Amino acid sequence: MATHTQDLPPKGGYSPINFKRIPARSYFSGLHIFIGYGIATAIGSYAYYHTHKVIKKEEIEMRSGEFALLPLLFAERDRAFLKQVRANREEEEKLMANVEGWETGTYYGEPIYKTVPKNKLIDPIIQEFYAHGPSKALTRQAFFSSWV
Amino acid sequence: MITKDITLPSYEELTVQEVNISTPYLRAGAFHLGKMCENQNNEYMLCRKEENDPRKCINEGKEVTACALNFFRQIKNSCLEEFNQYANCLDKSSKDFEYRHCRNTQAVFDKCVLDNFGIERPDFGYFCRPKVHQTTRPKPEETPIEFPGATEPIPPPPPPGSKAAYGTRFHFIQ
Repeated sequence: MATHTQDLPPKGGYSPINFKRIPARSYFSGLHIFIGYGIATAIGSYAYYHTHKVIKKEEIEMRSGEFALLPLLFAERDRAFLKQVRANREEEEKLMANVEGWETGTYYGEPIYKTVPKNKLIDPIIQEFYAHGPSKALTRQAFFSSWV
Repeated sequence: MITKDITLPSYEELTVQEVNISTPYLRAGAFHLGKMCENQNNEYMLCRKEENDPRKCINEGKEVTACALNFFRQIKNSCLEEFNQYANCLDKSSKDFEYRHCRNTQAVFDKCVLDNFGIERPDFGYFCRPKVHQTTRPKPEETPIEFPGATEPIPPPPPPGSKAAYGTRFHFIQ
């Protein structure tokens, strides 16, 4: 017959439970961390300040180059614009020649603007500017910023 | 909307030889071009701003284009190789022709322009600064717009400190 032995602690008892807190080894004190943070921020700010100045300078230089060219581009564009406006008017005259009562630039004699002087040139809306051309020209110009 | 009352210049008046060169070359010559044609450029931009009408500044615009054309012709005669080198660098160094990548070729080009034309490259922000331009063109007169049948303007308020004509609504203040 098998003898029953009771499950008991080992002889001499269990080893003591290790409940003592072992804190991580601290390399820096709080004060040192704050001082380090301050130094790092100061160095970073100094570098940022100088880089920022250089970047701003380069941006200004790019803009300056653009401004130097603007009169040339505007002059060319103004001439092209006036040519196209004239071509549009001639095209409209030719197109509506057989329509009775039609006056060029108005809707059967009714102008768009009543209070402005007769000779004042107001920029037409873009759909009207490209009215006599292919629709591709309009989409290319009107949505240029979308596809470029 | 362009009626027959609006006077437009003829095609002959508007046709001049344009500057047919591409962006990198324009950008490469921008600073010296702006310095050389400064008077014409300022005149044109002032006209454009004052008149607010492209028809009235055609002659000024033609002068701008003629000056630019003349400048690029001179560059072509004297500094073509340096100019091409600089423009090529601008074209291939970045997507938006940044000047900062091409300081070496720029120095070569600047020196050539200085030797041949005596034009020094303006400092980096020269064209961003506002300028005072002396012109002989008279300033356009502003004519106020008249609105027939408009209501009379509201009379100006009485000067401060004067007594109210009908007293105040609250008798205890008086």
